[in-house]
Amino acid sequence: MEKNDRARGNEILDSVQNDEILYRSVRGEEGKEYTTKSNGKPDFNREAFKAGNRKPSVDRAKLRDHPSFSLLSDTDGIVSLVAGQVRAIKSVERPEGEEAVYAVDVIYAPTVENPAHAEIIVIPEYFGSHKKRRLAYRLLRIALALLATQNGWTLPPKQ
Amino acid sequence: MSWKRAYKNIILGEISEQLYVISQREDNWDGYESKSPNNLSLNNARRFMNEFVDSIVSEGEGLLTPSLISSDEDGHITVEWHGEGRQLHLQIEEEEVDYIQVWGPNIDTEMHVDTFHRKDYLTLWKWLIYGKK
Repeated sequence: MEKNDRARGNEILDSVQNDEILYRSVRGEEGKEYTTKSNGKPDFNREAFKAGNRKPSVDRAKLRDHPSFSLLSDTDGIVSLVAGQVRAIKSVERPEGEEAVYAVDVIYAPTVENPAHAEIIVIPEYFGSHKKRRLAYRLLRIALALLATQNGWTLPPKQ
Repeated sequence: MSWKRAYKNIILGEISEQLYVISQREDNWDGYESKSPNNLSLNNARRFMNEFVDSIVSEGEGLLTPSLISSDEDGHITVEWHGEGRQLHLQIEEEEVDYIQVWGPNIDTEMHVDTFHRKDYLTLWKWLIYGKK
């Protein structure tokens, strides 16, 4: 591999691409982070995307051989999001030709225990109204739960 | 007892029970370092939900049990209803209540946030149930 190709390969690995699939482990206990609708499909709520540091964790699917490797508990299930869907939650207008910035972004944050780890971040300063800035983290989780509901289970919890 | 009052009492009983369960939470109840619900927000939630339910039922509208009643990381009370393609979320703090109307995942174009005033109760409820104001 040429040196430039290798550098480009590392760059692609370091930054999460818009078409990448992201896995999130969701607690399998009905009524906590989701309910099941009358049509049998799950309806996720914002509790499914809580995070102590306000940056919900996800795994990059391309760095996982199987979604089951992203389970945090044997009783959890897995939902999938697409990075581009996540970034589209909140757009930021930029003059033509300037690099895109994201009010909601997916950042690669590998750890020793989890080389596939990434974080979803929200930057409230880009939110238009005072109330939306104040509730930015809540709005983010509502939006993520809606996307998860649209996509359904990738791996449902074991019954 | 009229059916309206009986209906209201059933719904309020369910809400009151859930608020009691939430009131027992301690700091870090969720493992994400969230604070325990604060008493002022809990009292405001009880008062507000009573007023809100009363207002909806007295207009002859049906009422749904909330999809989720919880507390947030700052100890405020949160209530949400999931309708058909629409959601109504409430953020109940010590003295005020904010609402979030949600009809899609885009925060700019599919979510609206504002203070919840009494004059808005029925309008927002009809929006949730019927999709129109």
